[in-house]
Amino acid sequence: MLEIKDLHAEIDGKEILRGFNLTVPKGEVHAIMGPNGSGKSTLSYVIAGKEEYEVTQGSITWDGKNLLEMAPEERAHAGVFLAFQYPMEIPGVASLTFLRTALNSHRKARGQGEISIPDFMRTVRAEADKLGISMDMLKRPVNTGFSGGEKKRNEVLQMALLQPTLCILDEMDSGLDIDAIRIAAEGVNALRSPDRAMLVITHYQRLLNYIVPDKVHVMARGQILRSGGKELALELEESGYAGYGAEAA
Amino acid sequence: MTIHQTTIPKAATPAEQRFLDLYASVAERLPGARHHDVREWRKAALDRFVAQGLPHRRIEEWKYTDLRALMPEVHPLAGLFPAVAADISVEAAIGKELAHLDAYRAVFVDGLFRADLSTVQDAAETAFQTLRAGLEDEAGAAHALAHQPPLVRDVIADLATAFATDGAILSILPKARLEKPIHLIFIACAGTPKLAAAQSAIVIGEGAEATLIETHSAVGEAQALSCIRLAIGRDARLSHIRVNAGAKQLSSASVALSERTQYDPVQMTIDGTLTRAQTHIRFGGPGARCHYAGAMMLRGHAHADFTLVVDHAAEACESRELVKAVVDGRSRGVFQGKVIVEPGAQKTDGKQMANALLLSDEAEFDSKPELEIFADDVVCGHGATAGQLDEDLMFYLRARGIPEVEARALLIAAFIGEALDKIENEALRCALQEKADAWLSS
Repeated sequence: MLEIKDLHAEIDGKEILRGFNLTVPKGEVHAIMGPNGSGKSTLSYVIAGKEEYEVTQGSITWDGKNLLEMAPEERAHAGVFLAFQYPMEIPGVASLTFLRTALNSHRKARGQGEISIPDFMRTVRAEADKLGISMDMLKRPVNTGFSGGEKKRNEVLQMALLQPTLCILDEMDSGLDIDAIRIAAEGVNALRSPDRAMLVITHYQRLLNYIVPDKVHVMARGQILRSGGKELALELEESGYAGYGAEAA
Repeated sequence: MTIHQTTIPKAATPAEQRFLDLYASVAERLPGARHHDVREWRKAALDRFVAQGLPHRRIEEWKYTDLRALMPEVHPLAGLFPAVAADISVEAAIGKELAHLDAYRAVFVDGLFRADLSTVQDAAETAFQTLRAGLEDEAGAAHALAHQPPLVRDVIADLATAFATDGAILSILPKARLEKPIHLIFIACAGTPKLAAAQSAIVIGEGAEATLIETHSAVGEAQALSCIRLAIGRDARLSHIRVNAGAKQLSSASVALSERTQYDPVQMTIDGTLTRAQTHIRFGGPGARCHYAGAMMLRGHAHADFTLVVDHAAEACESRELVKAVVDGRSRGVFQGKVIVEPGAQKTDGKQMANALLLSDEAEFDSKPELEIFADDVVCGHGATAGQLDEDLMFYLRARGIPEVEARALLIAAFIGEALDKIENEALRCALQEKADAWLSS
């Protein structure tokens, strides 16, 4: 279970999260919706451990572990995975090298030996096929020269390989057309399981047609202002965020 | 004692005097000393050295590498006694990555060719002789070398010429296709501090294709001087990799290109208290191409200086230079890249880029591009960047579970890798990448 209590966080002295509370049990998918500047991306970075953000108050625990005491890589080993809104391009590092290094880091943290190259290639090929990612693409440097859709599919591929237990999807639909959203969403849905919690962060309701959440939370000014079922997303689509003080921050 | 002693000029400062004293003490024992033309050849080089003096920071080309400060002493010359052949492990001296590379090797230890460690004699379509044998034998190929004027003003070449005890005199026949690279290995061992000096001359015949590797390793207090002269024929292709590692090394290469020659040099330097690696490339025929790549990895108090002159003396030639420098600790990296476009060298296409990764506040990288353009229909440009590791990239890698130390190594290897990417020989490219990885994890 993910438990966030009274979380306050700031960057460059500016408070972005102001008493944020959230509980996501395993097996559930929760959506966080909110206007631009509400602190959605900050929340995802703070959970994953980005160092520029300073947590001034509150707690985040996953599976009973205090994430705030852990380095980003330790959080990853504890099952946390952030699918980035803007996946990074890494010139000079082949995707396959990157994937294998990441996978072996997880195995090492679990006390397992390195995966053999044939086993690795077999696993990658199977997962990449499902997402329509060619092996040629994976021989190229990570995300370098990839389209928006390819980058997001690459994030889902990493998720499928690393098998995290807490998945945070930050604006997965941004910059994608409907077909690209559908492919990425299918990849995500395949990972839904009773052992896994998911947090889907999105500005628009559209993505939630493909990844149907168990609960929807509306976030503004660094807090959750309202929670409800999936129908809440549809209501927001009708009324917008105007009632949530979108511009007030 | 001899005629040489009486004609040695007086030096301006103690720095030059030390070299003159050394020369006076060894002149009679240098290979070829009994031949007049060899003596004159060495003497002319020494005179040029004295006229210029030991370079210091007020000389523009040596602004960042002051030899008076960095080389305050001169060690006794090694390689005067051919009978002494010490036991040595090439692998220990140059690292397993390059020692295990499948190549025709010519190994020089402390200034002397070691036939027992070499295989270059077996290479087909080539002719090999040592400089020592060539200078001793009146009819030897090295005597021809002694009659060649220097290509450019070059203190390192002058010193290497005055003191060279050995080197490789190699020709690759026209249209030859060597199935393995030629690997010249120069090792200056630890132990009693010494100076090793080598001079090599390589001729690549018309239309030949070859890979030439020079590995220079100086251990402990050793000082190494080396100069190589390359003449590459029409339509020939040469990939030329030079690796310098350890201690104090002054290396110089003078390269003459012909019509449609393709020349791809890679300069790689790992640590070392003083490395100056000069390359002077002259386009002597139209339609030739040169892609230079440099990679330096420095930490501690290492100092490396890549100085490059690309002289477009013919039209429609293309030059590219890419230098990647990783500097850590209190190290200092230098890249001086001069591109000359001579009158008449129209349609010249020259581009230069230097990128530095600064891993500590006390490390320094100096980049000095120079363009001298005397033709009007040319495309020339240069650029330089310096920065730190991208924190957002670091976070991305760590968020995927890759520990900080490994993430850093991966990003630095990728940065350096760009300079090695173009090496076509895969085994060689991997060996150099492994060498970089070994440095990163040390």
